[in-house]
Amino acid sequence: MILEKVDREAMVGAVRDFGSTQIAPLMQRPELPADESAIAQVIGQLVDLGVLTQDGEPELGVWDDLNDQESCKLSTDLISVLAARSSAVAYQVSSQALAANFARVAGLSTTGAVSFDPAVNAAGRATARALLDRPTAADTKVLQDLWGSEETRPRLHLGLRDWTTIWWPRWTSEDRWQLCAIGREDCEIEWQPHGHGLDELAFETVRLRADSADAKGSLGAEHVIAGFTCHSLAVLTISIATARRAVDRARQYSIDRVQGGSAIGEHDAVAELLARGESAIATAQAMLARVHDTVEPIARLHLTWQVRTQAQPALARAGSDALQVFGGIGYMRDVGPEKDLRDLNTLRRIGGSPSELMLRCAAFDESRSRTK
Amino acid sequence: MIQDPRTGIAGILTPSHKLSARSVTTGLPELTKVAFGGTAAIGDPWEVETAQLPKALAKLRRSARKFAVEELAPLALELDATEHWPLGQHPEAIDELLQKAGRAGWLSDLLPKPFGGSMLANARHPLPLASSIKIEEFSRVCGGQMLLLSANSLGQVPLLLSADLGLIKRRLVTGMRSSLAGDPYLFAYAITEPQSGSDVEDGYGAARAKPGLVAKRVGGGWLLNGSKVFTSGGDLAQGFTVFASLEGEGFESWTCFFVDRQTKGFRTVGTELKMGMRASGAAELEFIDAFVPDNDVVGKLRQGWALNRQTLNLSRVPVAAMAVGFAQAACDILVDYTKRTTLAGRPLLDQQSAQLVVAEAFAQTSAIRAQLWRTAASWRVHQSYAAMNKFHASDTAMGVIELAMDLLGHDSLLHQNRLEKLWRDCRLTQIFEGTNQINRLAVIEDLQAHLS
Repeated sequence: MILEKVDREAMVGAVRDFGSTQIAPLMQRPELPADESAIAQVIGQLVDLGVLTQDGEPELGVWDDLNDQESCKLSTDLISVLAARSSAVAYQVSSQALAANFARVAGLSTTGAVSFDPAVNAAGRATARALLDRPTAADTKVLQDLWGSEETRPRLHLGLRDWTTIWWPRWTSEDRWQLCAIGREDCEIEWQPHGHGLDELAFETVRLRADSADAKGSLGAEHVIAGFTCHSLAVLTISIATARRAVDRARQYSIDRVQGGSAIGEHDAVAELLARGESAIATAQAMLARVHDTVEPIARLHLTWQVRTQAQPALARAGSDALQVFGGIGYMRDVGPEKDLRDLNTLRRIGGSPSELMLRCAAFDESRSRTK
Repeated sequence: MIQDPRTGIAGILTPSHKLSARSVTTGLPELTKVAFGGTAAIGDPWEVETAQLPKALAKLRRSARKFAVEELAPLALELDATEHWPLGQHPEAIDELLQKAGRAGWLSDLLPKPFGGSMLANARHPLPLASSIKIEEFSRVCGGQMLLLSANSLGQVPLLLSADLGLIKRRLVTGMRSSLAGDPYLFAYAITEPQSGSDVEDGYGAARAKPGLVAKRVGGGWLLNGSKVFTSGGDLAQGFTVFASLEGEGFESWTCFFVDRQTKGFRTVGTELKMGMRASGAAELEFIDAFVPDNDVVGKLRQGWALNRQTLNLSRVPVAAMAVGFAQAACDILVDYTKRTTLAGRPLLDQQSAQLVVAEAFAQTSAIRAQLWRTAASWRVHQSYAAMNKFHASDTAMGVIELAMDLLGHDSLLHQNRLEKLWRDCRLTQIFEGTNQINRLAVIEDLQAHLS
């Protein structure tokens, strides 16, 4: 797919305008998260805008072409612009766009969701070895339990609850990796009433019914790898934008708030907190750009996870530092910093927490060192 | 699924193995074992530590844990998830809890019987240590309910420090006895002002800030005008230790006043919707010509700043205790989760990566508790030690909780697993009683004679 630069910039500009006119008003009261119907309405408008290609020809939408570098770069640019206004909206768009991409490839017509979290946050090296298609004999039992037991091991879904199909990776010793489309009617869904962050979305645990039909459709290992990569890239991008929002908020407060006779930003203690946040954002942005320059799928996934192991804790800390600049008032839900921080803390654990991703990277590292 | 102890933990020698740590207790001479080797293959570290405490404090620790587990734990998740309640519409469970805590002496334990609720034997031990032991146990189960109960102690401290026996008897002991009789009389400590957050925690800031609550001299007493914010427990308290500047003067004139809730011109405006510790209200207080008689001045005029600083020295140590409790809770959740959750038929604790996390969490928690107990084991807590304890323990505890959250991954975000609540609750310990940045500067202030 060849995307004209002028078209890309126009699209990003349009989404930026949309964010300020349509999303920002919904986020005015951080203590009162917009309800799911309001978010669904925004998503519908983004479909109309072409950000989310639900039906029709993919072009300038999020995750329209997972194998094209320019398209992926545009995707994270769009996600970033949305996340500047709402982490939750950006996450929902990314998830729905990924599902729509998979559905197009599989020839399905559904409103989809994705889940790229394993049943348990463990056995990272086994997962990575399986992605390299080199699981050990001992790995197979673990992988089967971790990625192939959806009847007993619920997956986590974070998003709107209007999905009809959920896509998730499955590993079995017979079929190896598959990206499976599971119908809502084949699932037992439990809503988790008190989600930690991304307040506008629902937390659901989703389990395959014991008597369920087989998957509606499935895609091969290359789509699993692309899915892991793009989902992680989205989480990283949203985290960067969320940290940006948190640090900007704290910087403004550091100018406005006077203590000890001067603006608090003049104190080294505050300046250091802000600078640490800026450094985390700049580093993550630089690493994200490098991911976009990496073509080979496994190398790209490896680098994406490497970046997340370092960037997610640093970005979460940026959010925490931003809250610290506010002091006591930052702890109150109607001010904003605590919501940014909870969002960052949630994003840090979605799609594999840093410790889990570190072990996956370890297996990639081992493989790479053997092939050198 | 709980791990069968006979099969041990994967990758770790079983206790019965000839080369295991148990060999220390079986293969050495008796004298050597008595002197050095008696601690191999220990059981529950909490029991071991408790047994090492003086008898009275060990008893206190056990009773605090029992009360926390029996009374606080069942309410913890529910109160955290309950929608923000308007003033006067708190859940009945809170009233019941306060009555039970009152009768059990947890609202009056700054003084020994017969004046207050603590055992006379506890009086032989430093108050900061006894408070820390109690607060760790309460925090371990629920930060919000812990704050609900311990903010009361904070409000009592200035009365105690005033050494005014008449006032102590009339206000403090009377309130404590009411609580002991099952009619809770809570105290709250009101220092933070809308335009002076950290200023009131730090002399350098206070020297340059403008007071927001002012006391004006009138016949027989003082009229208070202004407001206070973020007053923990200020929604339910009956008695308040309130700090105000004298008219026309700065923070150096700060004076502590005892204000009863029934005082005309005083009211609680509302409470904040907080990130965590949600069972305890953070209230805004309003004073419009609220009259305080001379005999309710706590300490002397212009002695408020000293009382405040001394109170902070005593209250920062309990904040460290809160952090230790939160870190311990994270350890407990980690152990439970890694034993209960299985992968391919084996508990997660069989994975070396999980073992490393559990060991790290134990080490960090043990270290901050050791620092806490050392600092608290003195009646005279220095500002620098209190502040070091507070910021180090709270930062470390957040690290321990985040370590645990990383191991649980997305499961850590589910409310029923308690970690995300713990994380939200603990985050406040880095902020209140002075932000951790202010506390670092408090260390330098206290040590400046040595440093300069």
